[in-house]
Amino acid sequence: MSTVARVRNLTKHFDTLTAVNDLSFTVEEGDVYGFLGQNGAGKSTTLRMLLSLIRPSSGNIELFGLSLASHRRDILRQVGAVIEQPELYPFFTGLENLRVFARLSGKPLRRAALLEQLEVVGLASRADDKTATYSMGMKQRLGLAAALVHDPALLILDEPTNGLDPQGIADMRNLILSLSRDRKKTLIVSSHLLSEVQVIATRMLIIDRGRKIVEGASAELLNPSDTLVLLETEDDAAARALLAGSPYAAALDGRYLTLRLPGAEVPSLNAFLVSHGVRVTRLEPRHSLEDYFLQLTAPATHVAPFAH
Amino acid sequence: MWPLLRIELWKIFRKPRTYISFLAIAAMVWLIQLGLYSDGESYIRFGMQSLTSSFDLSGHILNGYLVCYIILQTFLMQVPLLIALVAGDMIAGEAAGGTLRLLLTKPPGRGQLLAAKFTATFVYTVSLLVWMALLALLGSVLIFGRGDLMIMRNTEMDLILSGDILWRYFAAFCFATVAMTVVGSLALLFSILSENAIGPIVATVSVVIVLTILSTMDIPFFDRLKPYLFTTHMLGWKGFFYSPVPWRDILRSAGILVAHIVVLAGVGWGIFKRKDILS
Repeated sequence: MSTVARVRNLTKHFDTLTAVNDLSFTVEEGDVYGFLGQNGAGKSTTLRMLLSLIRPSSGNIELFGLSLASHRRDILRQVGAVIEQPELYPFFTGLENLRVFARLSGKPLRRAALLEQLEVVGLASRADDKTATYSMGMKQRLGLAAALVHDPALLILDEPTNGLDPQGIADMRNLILSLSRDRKKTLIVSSHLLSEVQVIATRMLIIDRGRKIVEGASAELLNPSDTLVLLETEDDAAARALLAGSPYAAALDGRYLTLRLPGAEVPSLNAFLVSHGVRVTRLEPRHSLEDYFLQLTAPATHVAPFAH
Repeated sequence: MWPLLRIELWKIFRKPRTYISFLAIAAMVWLIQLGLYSDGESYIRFGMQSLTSSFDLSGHILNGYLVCYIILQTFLMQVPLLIALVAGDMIAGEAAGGTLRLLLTKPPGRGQLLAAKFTATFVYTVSLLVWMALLALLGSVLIFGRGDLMIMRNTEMDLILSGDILWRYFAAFCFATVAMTVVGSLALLFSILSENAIGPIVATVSVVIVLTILSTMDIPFFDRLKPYLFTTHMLGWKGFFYSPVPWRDILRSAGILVAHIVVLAGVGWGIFKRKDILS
């Protein structure tokens, strides 16, 4: 299995706002990589940087082993993307829109081939209708067809279910699963809904305020027997160095002081830190990732444990 | 580049708003032709009154060539609005519609996309002027017939013989194409800077109006500015109807207009290459 995307120390500043802060992650071939975070967490900015829509302030992006900064064209030949709502050209029919994006992708297709693509997303019967007459869900599916028209190896979907009704959400979910299972695509799917991502993602990354919180296989992250421990000390760097050289090293999760370990070990962790002179200002066990994520995504009760 | 240009042209000519410009020009030209057809002689008498007291003028003065000249003189300063209508929408319209981000996730680079949009804007400008030429020149000749062209300027009068006119119109339309391409480049630059389609259109028209006022006002304070304003040189097409033709002035004006195009397109390219696409 090869690495499709490798992101290292990615940072983006907009004037005084830091939208993405020193973010690193890796996406392997065949992953359905869930990219989770509340609105404004930096998901869209990160995905736009992966597509060269936004220039990073610093950091490095490699896709298919090539640097995006120097091989943009070669990389984008292998990438399809739907960024938020795909607003297509309303004065073109569905088929004409698809023809435009096929040509732009360097793969001009005949009508029969375009109709086949529309069939995949269930729009063949509306191929000759102007997209101005399409529903939100249909536009979303047409956007997906436009992203898939050149048969890319990697598909990047930013909030693909936003604005869809329950049936539309279910259709989109099934489509994503089918693309992964049947067409062997690697997908990066962002969402602010854990419930949505956990159904489709094989691996996931949670970010908050532009920083990575946790990254890992969905099955492990969502394991209810694990307790996610959020830690704050008077000297986080020293605490991290101490933990990295201790039996708790394997439990360290992400760049910040987050550990995943059985709940019974939490008192021992506290005793270990205190015995080594680390003054703990906060030690907060969460029963599951979902518990933590729900708190993270509820602005009214947001405790911002990782704000720096 | 060619596939991108084809797509851009396809988009321009599939949008209903594109045809508003063609209809507007047709309506304006037909109205003038109708007015001059019904009562053109009075208009000519009024225009020539300073001469008829001293000279005896006879012949087919109100002919198709003169009508075309009147149309150009009246409307060539209104055409920038119609150019801005399409050019101002080229990038900003895509940004507002959400298609710009989709376009830029495809392999062609930003430079290529901008070049295709610039070329498509140029093709649209040429189409609009060819349409105007067809209606104003061909239409007027068909309705009013041919004849020598008599043009008044200040206290002088130029008389151009019928057989010596067509090349001048061809040259004037070519010059007008360069002048209108400056407007298209300005609108495209504003379009890059904006994320809604109306802003660049209004901004372009405002700049053209303000600079035209500065170019035409006889106030010494503005005299030093005038040689550098593109609006001063946009009327250079009239030189082709003078005797003798002031080639030096025309070439200088054309050069300044081309320089404007290069600078505006260059600045637009520099900004677009670095712009974060947030729409």
